[in-house]
Amino acid sequence: MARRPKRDNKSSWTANIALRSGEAEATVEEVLDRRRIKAAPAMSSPRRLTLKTIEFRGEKHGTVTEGPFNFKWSDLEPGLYAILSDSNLKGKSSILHVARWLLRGEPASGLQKDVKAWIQEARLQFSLNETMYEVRLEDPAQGTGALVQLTGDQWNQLARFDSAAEFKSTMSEFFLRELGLDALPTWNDELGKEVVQDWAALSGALSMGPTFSSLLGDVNMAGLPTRLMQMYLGLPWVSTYCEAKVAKSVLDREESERVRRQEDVRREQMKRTLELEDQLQKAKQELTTLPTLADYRAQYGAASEALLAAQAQRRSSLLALEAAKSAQMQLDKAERFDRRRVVEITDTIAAGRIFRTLDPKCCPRCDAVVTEARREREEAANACAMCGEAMHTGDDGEAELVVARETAAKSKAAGDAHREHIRNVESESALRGDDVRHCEAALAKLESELRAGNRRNDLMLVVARLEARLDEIQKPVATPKSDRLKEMAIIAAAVDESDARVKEIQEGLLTEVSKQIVDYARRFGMIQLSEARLKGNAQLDIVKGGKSTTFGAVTVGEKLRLKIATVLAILKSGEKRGIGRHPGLLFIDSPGAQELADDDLADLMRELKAVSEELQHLQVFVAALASPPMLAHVDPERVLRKEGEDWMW
Amino acid sequence: MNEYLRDAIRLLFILCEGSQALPESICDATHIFRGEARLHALDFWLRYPDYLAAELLDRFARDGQPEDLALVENIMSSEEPDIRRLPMVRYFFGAFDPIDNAMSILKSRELVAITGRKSGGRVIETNFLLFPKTFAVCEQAVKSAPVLKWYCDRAKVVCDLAGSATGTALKERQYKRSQYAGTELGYQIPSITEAVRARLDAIKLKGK
Repeated sequence: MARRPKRDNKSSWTANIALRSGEAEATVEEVLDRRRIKAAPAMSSPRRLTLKTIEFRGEKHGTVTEGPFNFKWSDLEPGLYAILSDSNLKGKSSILHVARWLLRGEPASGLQKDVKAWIQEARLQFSLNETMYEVRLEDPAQGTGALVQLTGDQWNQLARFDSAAEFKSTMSEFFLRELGLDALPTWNDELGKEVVQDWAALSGALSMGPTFSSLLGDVNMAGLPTRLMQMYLGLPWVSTYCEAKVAKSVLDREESERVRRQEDVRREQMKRTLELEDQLQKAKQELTTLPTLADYRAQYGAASEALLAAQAQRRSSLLALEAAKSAQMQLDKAERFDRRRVVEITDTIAAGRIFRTLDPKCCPRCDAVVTEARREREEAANACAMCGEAMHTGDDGEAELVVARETAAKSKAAGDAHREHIRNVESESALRGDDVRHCEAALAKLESELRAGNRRNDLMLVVARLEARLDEIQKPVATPKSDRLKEMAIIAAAVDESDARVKEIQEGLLTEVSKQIVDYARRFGMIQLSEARLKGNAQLDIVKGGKSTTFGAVTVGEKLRLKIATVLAILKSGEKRGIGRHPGLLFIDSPGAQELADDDLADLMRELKAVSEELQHLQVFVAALASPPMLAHVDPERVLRKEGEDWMW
Repeated sequence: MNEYLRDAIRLLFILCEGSQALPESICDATHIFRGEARLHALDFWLRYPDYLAAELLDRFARDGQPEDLALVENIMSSEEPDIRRLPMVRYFFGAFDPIDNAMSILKSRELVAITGRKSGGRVIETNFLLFPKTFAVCEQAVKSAPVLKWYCDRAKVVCDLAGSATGTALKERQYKRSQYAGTELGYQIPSITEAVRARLDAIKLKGK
């Protein structure tokens, strides 16, 4: 069970917000201070504004009564005043407009441009409680003038203004301060910013007419009637509520802006993440196609072994080739020898045949002549005539030649066979040489890859960088989320707390005011009105002739009376409680123009006079056509009247 | 089989081709071949066709006769350096192979008569006398045994190559061939076939 908040003083205000938001009081105070949300100040007693003198001069152009004018209406007191003329467009309303102009610091929309242009100087004397002040507009075109205060017998200048803007801010600051009003901050959704309703807007509650469409004020700006009602009722937490509400809107807007930005950032991050992940994926993909260092080592080892094996094979094939060649040399030698032998035998046989036909004549050794006897013996015994050896038979070496030829053929065949073998060994050896070169090239390639092999390193670096960047991006954005949420909770709590405070007071107050509205409206002639209910949003529900209806749905004449009744009811309520902020000055422009029957107007004026006497500080100015009801119920000395076609000034 | 017969016929052709006619017959001899060293030198070129080819390339380099180059090509392409080589041993004054047995064959047929000059009991010059019969036998031999024509032709080539040079001069020339000179005493003179083939290839390449 939550502790029921107490609503007595400022400390309970922050304590309650702390309770609502669950934050420490110190934090609450810090946030409220930073967001400029002030606890409702203690209310001073109401200030009473009374016009004393309205004065202006200038020169009229383009009218029947052309020429200079000098208007002065002085010695004004609280009570009911009437400005009457027999016909329209004689300057009745202008008097009210000029008074309002000087109070507001800027002309009201009703002031006609030509009239404004005629005025060369204007002065408004007024009292706030017992103090006398005077606004002097010395040059309306330029907006120059001064605000002065009467101290003793001396007029002391409070402020000097030299432009229309300065004039406006001077009057605004003065009245907000003096009346204890707060400039009401409201959140304008269309503009997307905080708008301060200044004195010019707040003072709308002082005047009504010539149209009466809005229950309170003359500017039908969203939320303004509600604020005016709350303000003039004297609800102390209204300004706090407004500040808190605006602060909440600002925060909400900031939050949604922040969320939107965060969303943008997140989207951007997502996009970037996808890009980086894509790059990372590609780099990793390429890395998988590249061998690792261990792979390199394994490949290098394998390649080295392959090279050694290939070299060994080449060596053995070279040795085999060498052996084969050396064998070939032997074979060649044998082949040559055998061929030579064939030639030798062939030639020898031929030579032998030549020489055999020539008989020896002598001994080559001793030169002894071969005798006839020896020759005969050779014939008979087939023994050499010289040495006596048996002469050779038919064979002169043919058999040997046959053998030699066969041998030569064999050795040639062997040589040919071996040459074929050598060709095989040679091509085998060439292949082994190719193997070695391939292995060497593979090894060299690996070596150069290892040496220049920075692609892998580069890629690993790229991967590391990308991963780091992805980590960085995916890290949650460090926002002081809790602080923000804390602040939002506190502001929301401040809104709730001030709203609760406003409502708590407002509730009973509105019931009371509503009763008073019925009372006044019936006195003003709306005898069929049985019930009225002024709601927190400044809407007025009524029961008329037994039927429920609203302010917006009744006739213009009824609106006029309800509007006056409402302002007066608020005024009276404030008066009774001593905290209302309405300064007690009312301008009513042309009530008779609102299809109001003379009887009703008579009721209105009579009762208005009565109320102005009940509420001692009330000062009411009515501008209207001179009609019997008007003339009947306003003290003649308080009537400013021009008869016939005369101008008021 | 008597292999000196081949030596005899080879020497016979050399003697005939390298002889000069005598001004007048001496004991029926009409021609004379001078110098045993010359005979050995000329015989060397027949027995080592590669060395002959080298000499021919030298002459081609000097005189540019296309026949020399053609002959060298023929020698090399018919593998003569291998087939026709009859190795000789290097001895003090160059290639040497005793010719006594071959000579006795020629002498017993009265185809050659050995003569010479002696001084103090030492032979200082050996010459060979040739008879008309000698030339007739050569002519007949080429006709009846065409395989022997090679010896006749080659004898003409080497005699032409040698010209009027003495045996000593020829031996000196042969001695200069590095391979030949590099051969140790008592060892067979090796082949220079590959060197000659390389020279020939270089010349042919240059001529293209």
